[in-house]
Amino acid sequence: MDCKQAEKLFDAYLDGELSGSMATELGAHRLQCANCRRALALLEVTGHIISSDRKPESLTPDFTDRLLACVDEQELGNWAKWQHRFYLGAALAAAAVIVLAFAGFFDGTRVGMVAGEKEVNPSMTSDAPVEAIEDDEPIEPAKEAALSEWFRRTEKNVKSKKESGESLQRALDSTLEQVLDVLENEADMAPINPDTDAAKTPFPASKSDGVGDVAEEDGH
Amino acid sequence: MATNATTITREHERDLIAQAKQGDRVALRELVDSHKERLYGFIFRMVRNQHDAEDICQDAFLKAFASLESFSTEYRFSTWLFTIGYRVCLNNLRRKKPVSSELDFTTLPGSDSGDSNDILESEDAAKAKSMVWACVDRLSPPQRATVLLFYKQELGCHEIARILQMPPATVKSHLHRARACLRELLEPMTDRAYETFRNFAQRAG
Repeated sequence: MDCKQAEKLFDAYLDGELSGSMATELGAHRLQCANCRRALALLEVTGHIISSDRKPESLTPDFTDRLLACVDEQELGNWAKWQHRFYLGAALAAAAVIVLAFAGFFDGTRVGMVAGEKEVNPSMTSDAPVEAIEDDEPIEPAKEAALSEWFRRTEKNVKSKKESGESLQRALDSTLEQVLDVLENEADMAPINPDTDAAKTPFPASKSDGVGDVAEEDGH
Repeated sequence: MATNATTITREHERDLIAQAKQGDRVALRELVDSHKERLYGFIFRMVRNQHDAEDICQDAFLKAFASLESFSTEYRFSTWLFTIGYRVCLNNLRRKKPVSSELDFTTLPGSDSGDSNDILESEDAAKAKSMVWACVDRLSPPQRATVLLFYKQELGCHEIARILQMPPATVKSHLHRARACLRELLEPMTDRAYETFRNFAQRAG
């Protein structure tokens, strides 16, 4: 074994990975070669000093306490960050609502509607009874009763026309005519007598648009 | 991990981590106390500055605890901690100038004509050690980390590979280059200094 071959085995030898026969060969070369002997000894000694140097490298005594205090601070900081984000989000949302309110976004509309768009009373498109129609002015009880009665009659009228096989459009048209008559006469509100003609059923003019629209929709 | 490193069993470590995840401060304290000296020893040898080493050590623990939820107990906590510590060390070292001063062998024990019987005197021992550490400081960070983890922490190539996040073959390569570099750095010492140096190591061992 020459020096080049021996040097290639240095790492395996130092890592304890050299097989028995190779270790013997390297040992024999080491005895003969002063350079390899010196090089190998240098590496062995260096490794030994690095591994055995127990020079005290102590941390400051309160290291753990300070570290755990930092952990607490970090957690509190995270909580404060979330709180800050929450308050900031709430403030931004409130500001957005105020801006939209000033811009008239919510005037006469519901969520999901664009300002100026006419509202469709959901009760008119379903079988649910009419309870109230939203408006700026409060509805008087008498008017409300009259409206309820009118819708009830309309529903009954439409149902009977359906059952008798008559044109639904005609039934709706006749109801609409009654509504328009009332609008033209600007009739005063009065309690509804169930026996009186539906054409006399009074209701505020402002409601006519909605009712008429729905009646037309039902006809489709 | 290394013999001096395993102060808590694997099972106990898993329990501690599970408790720490629940915010148990006692478990956190035990995890810190059982790993801090070894981690600090490694980091101090990497950055060679007590103040920086302590800051890095603290940073490594805080980073580890901050992402404790994502830690898998399949691995040792120490491996994970050393990985974080090594990365923080690299960031610290990048901001600093590399060591470039020449090695001074004249201060080595036995380099003058004095009697070599005083080799066990603490001053000479300290000089010999500082000579070796001065050479270690001249290694590149990956080479230095490999040497420290191999010799000082007594870890195998596979565990070093996990910590340094490189293939085991690369670890072997770093170790080989580090040895070659140390040999080159220490070769210039005089024969007498070398003999004294060697004798010191044998007696100290």
